[in-house]
Amino acid sequence: MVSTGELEIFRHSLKSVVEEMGVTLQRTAYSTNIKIRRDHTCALFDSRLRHVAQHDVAPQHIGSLVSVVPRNVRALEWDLEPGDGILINDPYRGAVHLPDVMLISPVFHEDEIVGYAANSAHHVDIGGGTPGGIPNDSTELYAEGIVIPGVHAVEDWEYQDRVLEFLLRNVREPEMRRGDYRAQLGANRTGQKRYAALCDRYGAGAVADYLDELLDYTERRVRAAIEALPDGRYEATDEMDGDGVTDDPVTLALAIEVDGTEITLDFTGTADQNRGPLNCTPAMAFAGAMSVVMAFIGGDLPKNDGFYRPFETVTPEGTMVNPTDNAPVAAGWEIAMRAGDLVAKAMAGAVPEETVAATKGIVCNIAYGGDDPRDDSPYVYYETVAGGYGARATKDGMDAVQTHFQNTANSPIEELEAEIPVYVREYGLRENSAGAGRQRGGLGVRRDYEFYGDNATFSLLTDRTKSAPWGLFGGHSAGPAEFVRDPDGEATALSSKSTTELDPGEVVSVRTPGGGGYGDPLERDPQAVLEDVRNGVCSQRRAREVYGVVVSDGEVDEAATRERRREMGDSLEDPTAGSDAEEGTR
Amino acid sequence: MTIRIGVDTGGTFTDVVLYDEETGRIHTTKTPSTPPDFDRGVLDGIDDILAGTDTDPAEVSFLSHGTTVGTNAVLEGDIPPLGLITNEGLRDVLEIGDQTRPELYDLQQEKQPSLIPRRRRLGVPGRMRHDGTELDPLDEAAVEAAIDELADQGVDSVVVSMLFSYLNDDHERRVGECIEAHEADIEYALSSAVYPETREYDRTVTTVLNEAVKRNIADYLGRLEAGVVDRGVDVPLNVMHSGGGVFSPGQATQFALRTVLSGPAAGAVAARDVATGLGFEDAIGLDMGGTSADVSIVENGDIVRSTEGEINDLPIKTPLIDINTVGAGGGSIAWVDEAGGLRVGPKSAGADPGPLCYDRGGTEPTVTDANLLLGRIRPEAFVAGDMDLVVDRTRERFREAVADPLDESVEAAALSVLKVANAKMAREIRRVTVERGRDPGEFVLVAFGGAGPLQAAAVAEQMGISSVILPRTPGVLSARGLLLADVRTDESRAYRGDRLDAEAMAEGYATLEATQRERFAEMGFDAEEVTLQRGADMRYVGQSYELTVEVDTPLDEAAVRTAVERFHREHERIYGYAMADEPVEAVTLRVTGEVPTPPLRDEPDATEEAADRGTQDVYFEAQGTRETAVYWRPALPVDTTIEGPLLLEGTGSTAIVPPDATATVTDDGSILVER
Repeated sequence: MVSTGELEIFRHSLKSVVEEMGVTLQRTAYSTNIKIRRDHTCALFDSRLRHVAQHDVAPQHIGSLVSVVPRNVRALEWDLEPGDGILINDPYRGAVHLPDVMLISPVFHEDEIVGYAANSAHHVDIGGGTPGGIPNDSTELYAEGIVIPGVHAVEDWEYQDRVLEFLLRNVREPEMRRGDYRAQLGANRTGQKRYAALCDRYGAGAVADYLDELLDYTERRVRAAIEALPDGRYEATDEMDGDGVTDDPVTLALAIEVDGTEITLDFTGTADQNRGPLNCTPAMAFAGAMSVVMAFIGGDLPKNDGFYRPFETVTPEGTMVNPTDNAPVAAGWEIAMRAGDLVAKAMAGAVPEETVAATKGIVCNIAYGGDDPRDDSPYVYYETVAGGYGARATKDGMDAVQTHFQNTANSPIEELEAEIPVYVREYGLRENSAGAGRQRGGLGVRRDYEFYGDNATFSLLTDRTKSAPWGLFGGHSAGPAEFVRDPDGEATALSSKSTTELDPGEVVSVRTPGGGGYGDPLERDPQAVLEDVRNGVCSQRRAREVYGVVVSDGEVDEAATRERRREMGDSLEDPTAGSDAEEGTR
Repeated sequence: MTIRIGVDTGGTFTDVVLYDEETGRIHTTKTPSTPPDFDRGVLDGIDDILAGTDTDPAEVSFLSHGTTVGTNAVLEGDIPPLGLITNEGLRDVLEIGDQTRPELYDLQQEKQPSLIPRRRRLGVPGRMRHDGTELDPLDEAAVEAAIDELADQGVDSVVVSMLFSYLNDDHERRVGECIEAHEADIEYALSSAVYPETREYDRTVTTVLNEAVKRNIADYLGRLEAGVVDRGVDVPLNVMHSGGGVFSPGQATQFALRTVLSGPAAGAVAARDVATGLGFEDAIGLDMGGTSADVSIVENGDIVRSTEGEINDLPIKTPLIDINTVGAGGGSIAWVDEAGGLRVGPKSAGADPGPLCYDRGGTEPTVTDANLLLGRIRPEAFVAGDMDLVVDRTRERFREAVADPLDESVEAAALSVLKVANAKMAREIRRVTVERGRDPGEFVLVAFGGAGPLQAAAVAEQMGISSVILPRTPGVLSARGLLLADVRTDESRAYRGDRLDAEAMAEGYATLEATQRERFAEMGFDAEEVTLQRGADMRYVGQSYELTVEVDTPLDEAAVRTAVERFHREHERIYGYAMADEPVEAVTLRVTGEVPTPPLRDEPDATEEAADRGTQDVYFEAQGTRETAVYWRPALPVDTTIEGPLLLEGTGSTAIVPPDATATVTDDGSILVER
């Protein structure tokens, strides 16, 4: 019997192992995705392939390693030796999208396998038809990059030259990628060293006892948290933009069933799998939904097998959340992100005060490449852009933040311009983009790029140009995404999944959605509306027409506002009026 | 002129330390702080200690001051009306920041409001390229209009921050000139002058915070300086900065943000002094108080510094001692979660109402209560009145809130609480040393603050540390650091040459060294008194993490090669590998200037009091309850060696020496605990 005090101490020691793995990976990696945007995770599994600890810095990785490691290690047809490593990124063997490459190493202690160290890191490029691994019109997985099905790539803590050279020959900027592969190996080596040291300290048998208790304890905590939610089946659906090949909207459906101490995430009702890349693996759908479920059950829960036990996920085969036949998945994270929004929408029926209106709801994958005239070399870059957060019962949505599973930082303009032939002409809050409400949604972001090199291509693999982020309880929806070529001239709208070739000097403007509002805008504090008018994020006209707040000479005209709000209240038959936010957005 | 005085201002108390070089004695006093005019409390403290020691103000040879007054005001939202002029289209950079949100899984979280509201952030046409050449000319008419608008809005000062100004400050300077020429009386700050390094958001936010703190601190320091002169003290007032040195009030005003860690930095300096004085070159400083513990590192006799930190989720790019804070202190609350797990913190009872056993209305069991229940501290130390009653009440509440839910005895549960708190600390310290590529077992632990000496032995054991130093005056060690700090300034600028070019680097260093000489001249030092040391932040081309390495003088090709070799070695040490064939680049050049302050040679006070204070039953994990000798620590003579278990009581702090360890009183009055 393990005492609870001892268990908590053990938990800190175990957590310390995965944290040190994370430190090693992040500090030694080359890709900005890993070292700056922290798009990576490290985990430990025990000898029975139970997930026991995870370095939890990026919620998109909840569920990723756990769906890969047990399944693929069990399937191995060879015996693992100390210092071995298996590379894998195959979405059809439990992984997510191809750029997330995972490395699994056995952990040995006194000649026995006592567990496995594993990490997953987002490589900037994984080969395939477009730079950055996000082609937007592929109809099969093969176009998205090189598929690594579980390869014995490391022996005695060294990559096998032929395997590594083979992989690197298939990706852009191979020397940078070599650094990332090396960093991933260093992380697992840290895991081997520290987990073995833990076994030295406690004894391998005692570690196993502690792990049993830790997983049970975690399960008890998760179940207790779920039990506090009201039982019921809570449903929500939304339409996503086309799949990249056709432009027809497709349905994403999610029901959350709370039953005692268990939760089922049921994607039944979701559209069939798409021909284009708008498909995600079950691991991605789960991560996207869980990143928001976490907020309802407690964010500090340890991630291990015990954590996952009370959840069941239903992803009908052949739908876009569980595709078959090597369908492409490059836009899968967009589905996962929207699943997060749907969790929040569904939970409005269960705990209305605790949830949030729709957020920007997109990952906003952007990749660009071309020739750099400064040194006549090709370049490639990938980034994502923030947007509005949904409004809450008592708080406005945050402006310009990453949402749900995503919390990756931006690229400083000075670093970007030093590295890439581009000028970021505009980077700011998108005016009038917030969903109106008693609490307003957050503002979206505008980012304008001027490319001055030859052969520039600008790829979008994102969504939400059609279905706007919804409001809740009378709150209005926010402005949807817009992507505009030549914004000050012809202003051509670009599709959310498209690749555009640009002449030198051309500008593309990315405008991400705001967040939805919460509650009736006519109940919003006029001073709060005034503050937004003064800061130029809400036009005077919008204040009057949507909020019923009359601003003159920089102050609220209180009499006119009372009158205006009375008029509007009378004429408003449908309090859930639709989107009005696109008016006047810039 | 043989008297040194240090004054450390906190939110509640002002600590004053006086050292008499002739007698080798240290005197301390505590006076109430006097918010919002903290200078009054400081001057009161100086008056008190001068009167109390019958010292002639003219005898004062060194005066230094630690204060976070200015920074605290800004952190609490007291920000003067500032404006921002930046590039057209980029006025929201300050607000968007790095586009992340503070918490991953909290749907109700809030972002800090922007330091300057959007209506006072204005963009003007004019832009530099990444190599510092001009892309678009500055539109001076637009600049004039922006200044007019900010003047109308009543700003006190305007921060000017434009792209690539660290490479070419021409546009920023011209905006500054326009502000100066403007009819309204507005001050300004240029990002290229405050923090001439890359990354526009970091540079902007650092400059804005600096300007905000500056405007809060300028009057304060002015009044303080005048007050010091009035008292006939004829030495400059030194101000402690986050880099672990002192500088002049003028510089403390101009680079106000550099005072952000004034207090903890002084503690780190004192910890280093104690460790190196006893011959330990690698040490971990652990300053554990009521709500949190500050961890600092000494490597090769030098404090580990960093070039960046964070306050309130905002990045600050100023040189500072690398101090990591762990949310574990004497007041951390122990609780049992819904799944029956024992947790300690992050909530804290702080000093008010404090732990149950303080008997001041605290209702939740804390780490300090666990120590009391195990006999490790005696209630006499902090309560007057009926102690048995206090102990009984504490025991009952602890049983109800922790022991019963865990189904453990009160002693077992109390021990678990301590172990969990220690495990949290050990995990954090471990992470800090591992990031340096070091095993914590290679260090000695210097434990101070009210709660540090109680936990130190157990924390050390968890990390495989065999020696623990308990400095003589654990409660006022930080103030002692003020008396020891060298005069020091750190200057840096972005490297502007191609790759690694000795000539371009030498040029950069020449500029930095000229600045340094000016700063020290302002403080009244001759050039030959000042030691200048060069460093460079280097990285492999393509990486975004830099490591600072020393650069030799004279700077020729050989010196550059040596620096690159140092970089490879440092990379190998910290990250476990080096890439000898990969190209290396320099990002930032640094020059540190230092004028050493002589060490303290104080003798431990002789005391007539008896050392022996009887015995006490103390519960230990391995040995169970043991009869433990209790000593009055100040009365133990130098070179005394005693076997554990021991309780060593002192003013404001109790230390514990476990059964399998030995305690020795060292020459400087510290206790060295070894096992």
